[in-house]
This record gives sequence, C-alpha cells and structure tokens, in this order.
Amino acid sequence: MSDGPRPSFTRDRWRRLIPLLDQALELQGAARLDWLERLRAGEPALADDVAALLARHADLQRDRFLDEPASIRPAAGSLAGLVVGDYTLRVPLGQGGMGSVWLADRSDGRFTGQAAVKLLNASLVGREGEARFRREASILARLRHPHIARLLDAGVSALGQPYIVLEHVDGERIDSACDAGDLDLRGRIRVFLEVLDAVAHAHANLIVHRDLKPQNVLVDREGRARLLDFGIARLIDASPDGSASVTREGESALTPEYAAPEQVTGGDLTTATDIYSLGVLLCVLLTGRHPAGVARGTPAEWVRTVVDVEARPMSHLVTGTPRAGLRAALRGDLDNIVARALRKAPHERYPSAEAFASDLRRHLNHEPVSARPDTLAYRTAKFVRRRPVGVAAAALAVAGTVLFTAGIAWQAREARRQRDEASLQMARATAAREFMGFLLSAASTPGTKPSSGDLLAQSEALIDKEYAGSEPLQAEMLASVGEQYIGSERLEKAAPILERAAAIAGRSGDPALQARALCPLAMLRMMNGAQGEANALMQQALDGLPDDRLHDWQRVECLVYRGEFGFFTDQGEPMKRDGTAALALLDRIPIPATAKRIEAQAVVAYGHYLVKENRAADVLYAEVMRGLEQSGRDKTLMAADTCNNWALVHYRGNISRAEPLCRRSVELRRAIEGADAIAPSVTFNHAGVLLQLARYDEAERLYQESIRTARVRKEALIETDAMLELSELYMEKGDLERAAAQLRTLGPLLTGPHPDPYRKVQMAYFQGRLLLARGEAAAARDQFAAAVEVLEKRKSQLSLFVFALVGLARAHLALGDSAAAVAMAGRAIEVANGFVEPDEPSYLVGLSQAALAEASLAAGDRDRARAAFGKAIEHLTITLGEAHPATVAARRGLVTLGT
Amino acid sequence: METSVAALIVHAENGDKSAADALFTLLYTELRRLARIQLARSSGESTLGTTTLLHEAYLSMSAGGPADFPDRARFMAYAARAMRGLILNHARDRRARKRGGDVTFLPLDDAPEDPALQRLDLEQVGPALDELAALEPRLAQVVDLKFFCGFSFAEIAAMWGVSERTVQRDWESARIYLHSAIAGVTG
Repeated sequence: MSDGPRPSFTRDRWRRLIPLLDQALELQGAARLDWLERLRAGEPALADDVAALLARHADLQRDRFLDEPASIRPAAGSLAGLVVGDYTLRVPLGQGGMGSVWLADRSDGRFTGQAAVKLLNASLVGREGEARFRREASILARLRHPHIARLLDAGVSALGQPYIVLEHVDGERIDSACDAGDLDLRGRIRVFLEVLDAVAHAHANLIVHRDLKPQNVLVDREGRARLLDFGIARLIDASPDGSASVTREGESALTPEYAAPEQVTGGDLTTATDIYSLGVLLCVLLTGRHPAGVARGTPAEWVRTVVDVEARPMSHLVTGTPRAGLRAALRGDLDNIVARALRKAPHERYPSAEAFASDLRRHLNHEPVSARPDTLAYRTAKFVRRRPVGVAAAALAVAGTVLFTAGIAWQAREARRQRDEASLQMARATAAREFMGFLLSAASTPGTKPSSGDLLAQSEALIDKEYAGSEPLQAEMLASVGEQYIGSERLEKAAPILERAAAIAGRSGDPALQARALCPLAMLRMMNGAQGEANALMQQALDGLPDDRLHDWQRVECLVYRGEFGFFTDQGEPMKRDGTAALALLDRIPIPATAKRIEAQAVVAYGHYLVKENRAADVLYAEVMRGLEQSGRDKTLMAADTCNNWALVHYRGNISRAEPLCRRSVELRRAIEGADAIAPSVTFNHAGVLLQLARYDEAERLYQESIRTARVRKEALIETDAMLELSELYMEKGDLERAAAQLRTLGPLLTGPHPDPYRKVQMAYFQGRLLLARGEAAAARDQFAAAVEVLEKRKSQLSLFVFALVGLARAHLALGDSAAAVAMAGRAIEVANGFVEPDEPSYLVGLSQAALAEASLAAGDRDRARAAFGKAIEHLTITLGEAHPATVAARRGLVTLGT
Repeated sequence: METSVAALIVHAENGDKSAADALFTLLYTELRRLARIQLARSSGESTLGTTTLLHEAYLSMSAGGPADFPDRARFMAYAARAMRGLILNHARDRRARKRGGDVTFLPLDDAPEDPALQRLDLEQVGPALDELAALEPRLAQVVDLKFFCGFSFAEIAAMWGVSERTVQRDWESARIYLHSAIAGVTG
C-alpha cells in the first residue's frame, strides 16, 4: 500500500465524505472520473479527499484488507505430560468456567500420590500480582475441614499459567450420589448437613465460596460430602486490574441455576450468596427439581427467574400421585426452611450456615424450626412507621420535642430486633474484603459469638482496614454501617460514621455516592431534632444528583428518606409529594423494586392521613397491604406496622374499622416475636380501640399485658399511658374505687421540677371523669376546663380534646348551666369533625352529638335535641355498633323525646 | 427487571443506554457459552463457525420467548456486535499470553493466530467501529456481520431487504473508513 500521509478527517468531514464515497463506488472507470471532475468543479477540496480515499480503496483491495472473516481458533494440543510445579499432568478431568482440571501425579520423587491440578483462567499482572496470588492461596491452604478438599499448593507455571493443586476427591456429584444410594429424605438431609458444616467452617474463616453447585460438592467412596474449590472464585477475582473480567462473564453464564439474585445483578457477594446457592442445592437434593421448576431455559430466562420470580413452596415441585408421600413430607418445615434460604434479599436469608443447619437438625428431631412463612424482619420497617396509635402521635402533638425524642428512642429500640442486619453488614464486609488481614486480627477469635454491636464495631474496623485503597467503597460501607446504627438506636454512633462517609463521598465528586451518605445523615439529624440541618443536607444531596436515569435509584432513596421526615414533622403534603415523586421514578427504573415501592406508598398514605384525606389514605394503605401480600411480605413486621398505621386512619373516626387492623397487627407480632413478648405499644393500641368499643374484658387483658411488657422493657411512656387508660376502663365499668387507686399510683408523674405538660392534661381529664362520676361536678368542671384550655391553645389533634370538651359539657350540665353545656358540645362536634372528611362516620362526632342532644334537651330546645340524637345514632351505629351503650343511650333519648 | 432480549431490544432502540449494555452482556455471554460448547464438541477443528454460533444463539434465545421476539435482522444486528466483542477479546487474550504469561481462554496451545486478525491493531478496531457506528450505523453493522460473523453479501442483503450491491457498497465504504482510521495497518 502507499505510504502517503494518512488522511485524518474529522467526524463532520466523514459525514460529508461517506455519501459521496457511496456514489463514487457505484461508478466505474471513466464514469467515476467524470463524476469526480464534476464534483471538483464545485467542491475542489472534497473532491481531493474522495480521490484519496478511492486510491486507498485500490490499496486495500490489493491487500485483501478484512477479506477473510475473523474466527476463533481453538487449541489442538494436549497438555498431558506437562510438568506443573511438583506435578505431572496425566488425564483431563474436566473443563470449567475457571479453567481446565487435570489429574496429576506428584513428580518430585519424594512423595507419591495424586492430586487435581487446576489451570486457572486468570491473569496475573506483574510480580506483584503473582505475589498476591500466592499469598491468598496460602490463606486458602490453611482452610482445613474434613468435608473440604484441601488446597495443597498454588503457583505460576514457567509459561506464566497460574495453577492450584487440590486434594483429589474420588467421588460423585452429590445429587447423583444421593440418587445412586437411593437415600431417603433424612439421609439426604444428613449429607447436606455435612455440607453446611463445611460451609460454616469456611465462613467462620471469612472465606466465601460463591460457586456452590452439585459439581463442586462431591460424595466420596466413604459416603462423606467433600466440597471443592472453596474461595477459588475469589482468588481469580483478585487480579487487580480486572483483566479477568472475561473469565467472570463466562462463569456466570455457565451456572446461572445456582446463582443468587445479587450475583446476577452484580450486587455484593457475601456469605448470604452461599446460603442462597445452598438453598437451591437442598431443593434439588430433596425434590430432584430446581426451585424455579422447569429444567433448563436460555440464560436470559434464568436471569429473569432468579431476579424476579418468587419461588413457590418447594413441595409444589413434586407432582403426581406416586410422589404424594414426598409432597406431604416436604410441606411445612422443609418448605419454610428452603424458602428462607432462597429469599431474594440477602439479609432475609438465614444469617449463617449454622442457623440453616440448626433448623434442619430441629426438623430431624421433630422440634419446631425458626423459619416460619415470611416472618422475617423487614429492614425498612423502622423510624416512626412504628408509631403507635395514640401514643407517639399524642406525645408529638401535645408535649413537643421532649417526648418526641423519647418516642423515637422507643421506635429505634424496636428496630434492634433486626439483629440480622449486623450479620449482614459483616457478611458484606467479608465479601468485599481481602481475607488476609482479618484472619490475622483478633476479631475472628473462634468460639465466641459476637453481639450485633460487636459486629458493627468490627465492620467499622474492617472498613478502615480493608477499604483503605478505595474511598468510594469505604464511603458506601460506612453509609451502610451508619444506617445500621440508626436502626439499632445508637444515634450517637451513627453520627461520626455518617459524617465520615459524607466527607469521603464529598471528595469523590460522585453525586450518587454523596447522596448515598448525605441522605441517611439528614435522617439522623431529623431524628436528633435538628430539622434545619436535616433539610439542608437533604437539599444538598438532591441538588447534586443529575437528573438522569443513572441517578434515578439514588434519587428514589433520598426522596423516600425525605418523605419519612414527615413522620417527625407531621407535615403531610411534603410526604405526599416526595412519596409520589419516588413512585414516578420507580416506574421508569427497570429493576424490581417492590420493597422500595411499598415504602414510598406507605409514605404517601401517611401523608394523606396527616392532611386528613382519610379516604385516600385508606385506599392506599389497602394497596400497601396488597403489595406486601403479593411480594410475600404479609407476615412481616412491616405488615404489622402497616396495619398499625392504617388503624390510625380510623382511630379518630370509624373506630370499628380500626379494630380488625389492630388485631391483625397484634396477631402478626405474636407470630413473629413470640406470644408473650410483643411490643407493648401494639397491645396498648388494640386495648384502646377495644375500650372505646366497650369490649372491656378483652381491653383489660391487653392493658395488663402491655403494662407488664412495658415494665420489662423499661418503656415508661407506654406503661403510664396504659395505666391511665386502665383507670378509665375501671370507671366505665363503674369500679370507681379501683380507678381512683390506679390514678393515685400515677400521682408522682405530676411532681418534680418539670412535670410533663401532656401528662398534666391527661391527668386533669381522668380526674375530671372520676370527680364527675362521684357527683363532684364543680371540681370536675375545673379539671376539664384546665385540660381544654391547654388543648385549645395547642390546637390539639387528639381524641382526648373531644373527650375533654364532652366532659366539660357534661359537667356544665350537671351544674345546671345548660347554655355552657350546649356551647361546649357544639365545640366538641367542631373539633371531632375536623378529624375526618365530610360525611365520614365518626364515633367522636357521634358522642359529641349525643352530648349536644342532652344539653339541648336541658335547655328546652327539643327540636335541636331530636336532630342531635338522630345524628348521634347515625354515627354511633356505624362506628360503635347498635349494641354499644352510647348508641343504646342515644336511641333511648330519641324515644323519650317522641316524634 | 424485564430482561428478555425482545424487551431489551425495544429499550435499546429507544435510546436506553443501560438496556443496550445489558443486551450486549446478555448476547455476549450467550455467544460465549455456545462457543464453549462448540469448542468442546469439535476439538481438533481449526476454527469456530461464527455464523453457526449466531444461528444457534438466535434459536436458543428465541425459543420459548414471546411471540413478538424480534425478527432475525434486528437480533443479528445486536448479536453481531457482541460477536465482535467476543472475537476481539479472545484475540487480545492470545496476544497478551504471547507477550508473557496471561489468560488462557483454552488450555495453553501453539495454534497460530487467526491471520485475518494478525495484522490488525486490536486496540483500535473496536473504537474505530464504534466511531463508525456513530457516523453511519449501517456501515459498522456490515463489518460486524461480514467480517466478524462471516455472513455473505447475499445473506446480509436478504436480511436487510436491500440489494446485494448496496451491501457491497456499504462494505467498501466501511473498509475504506477503517483502513483510514486504524493506525498501524501494515501492508
């Protein structure tokens, strides 16, 4: 070819040249020359360029440039006889994603024996890469366990080929071995327990397998399970420049059946990843089928199945009459155990291989197992979403920030139950770290079971140690740990860590990473009462995020966080706005985000509730609940809390609708937390609703329970609330002595230098009730009036406000001041109407109307009384029921009035 | 996530970059899987039938897929792009190994490098083709289909529903472009 100067045209130039070239190529010989001349007349420079390209064309044709199609050339030669380290390759055993495996003889003359030599598809860059490979292999070599095939040696051949030498296991794949041995269910579970034992040992040494599948789990001639290739996937990955990426792609394409969702979506690979693969393996061993059912599909279908499709209970895989016995044996415990291992979210799986194993052992021993259908802690069920009906809400509205923070502490304590989070954190750290450093540190002392606090603290230490080289990862991990601290109420620990994360993220210049750290930090500030700072940080995070799809997910996370601010500020409109915006973004994000969607919906629903759009809130809560059911989360704490908050919507209106929701919340928690140990707020809420419905016996039992558990948990706020309401219950039942005694025990609440204003209001109201019942109307009036004064001043949103007004009206009535009684009852109706949408039935409106009717009657206004009784009956029948004493009394009142 | 090839192609055609990337990865891994199977089957043969690979990929990925699985031409356009990646990566690996100690796509071997690729600067081919695709996608596609996948002009013309001559002209234009754009092409 000609060696003339290479024309380097700009893109714009090419844009003009390509069509011309196309025309020129259409022509031949003289015609082409003519065409060129004509072009030259108008555009001489262009014509020159085209001519140069045509000359080049002649050259490349002569050169046959690109004439032969490219191809992939496989190798032909065999490696038998090749000496690798101390071994001579003999027979190929297989070819896998990671490389080819050879049976080899030891050839150094000193020892004899056979081993498996694996030639790895890995690239090692430079001497440093080699040293690192050897170092990490030497860690793996220390992994010794009767059910793990040992790594004997590792190195790099003279040709630069990295290899490892493994103990050769003469055995059969576990699935075929179980079939060949005709093992029954118990036999299969016993073999599988050996596998779990091996995995637990490796995990304890912070080594994750990441490629568990039947091909890697053999059963040897003695019938023992032996695991191959522990940590090898990691070893290959360790190439620092990522040049082994082609190998990794090949790998994941080869065994998608055993890949966990996070492996398919590129998430963090942790011990939980192994748990998932083990779940698939157990399902295959017990049913002969993959959890997803159908045998093989295209990789695309597998990816979809793994990421999107919730597996049905394993027993559904077993069909046909001959297998009915097996089906029955799998149903229940074994279904639940496998389902727990196969959860899409890593933290919802068994926290460890030991936990997995102990459930299987319990099953073998006919003891109850810990895995129950979907009873797992739902990570995002935290903050005030747990806000109990009437408690924290009341505290917020009346007492302000003092009680407010107490309420938050209580909320956060709830979250501590989700201890698995810390284990998850640890597992994440494990996967992302180099296993070297940590093995040497004191943290992995065997035989000790660290608490979640220890694990979090260790995660922190690990981050510093292991991610020193990668600031973005460091920031990401710190942000996660910070979030965990928030969840486990250690706000003081969360602060420095999130601040560090934010500082590091700030340096990165990556707006997504910055938002990742800033948004939880903003949440923390909000929880600490620093509303201004919270808003500023949140604004900074959101302003920094570019408005494009790449950052949609992070924006969603931040918007949901900001929406949750509303739980603290009681501002509904921003909640609705942020939640709705998050939902809109989620619609265009092409990943399944069921959990996030439900969270966002719950934010919007609570927003509706706050701005008294009860109907919209009701509809949306129903949708949240449906979402939870459809995604298999309807037996979770999130579901319990949703019911609880949903009940709140009806708490100041149609209270009969709150009852089944409270009941469900209580039942869910009993199933999750154990019958006697559930959060006192939940029983308290249910008791309060039952009290209003005049179901006194049930209410009393629940109040007693909530007082008992609150005492154990040192949750004074709820203990006091429950005791106060219990005294009201005694009054309703007519046991004034007991009510009085109960109130006396609470007297000390009102002493001390700073008596809580909310308690003072509550106490005044209950004293008023007691006094009125005893016939001391004047004293009662003063107590009610004192309560009403404070509640008026604070524009209270509490049902207590209505009750105090009704009490005041009745006291006036008892004192013969019917005009004042009418006025107070009228005000009560006004306040009660403010809690609900127009035309929505409300028991508070009903009770107020009944009070108005009686006051009107006393004032001689029979028409008004009749109308008020009518409205009272209307509201009360729907909300409290026909047989409720208040409904009955109103009906009687109307009857005595005549028509 | 909707990860079917059909859906990804629709998204990619609507300009969704992440869908295009996902599509590439999906096709790449599938081709690679098929390549491995084929290699295992045909030890001893000197080259891998890239055209066959593409046909197999189409069959395996459209099997059981939705009724609206994209037509062959649209599928091949994307698959050919993935095949280009596969071939270039493979060739790069081989060269890297020759330079001293590196990846083995397959067991160590002495088979000569594909002469079609021998004289190409592998680091430049990909970027040059991407650049060409930005200028005129059809020209880059014809290279993927003909050079990297071994389709004949007649096959490509049938796929696109154009005349064979048109395909040929596109091919020549593309060759001229690449010859100009790739430094280090030696005679």
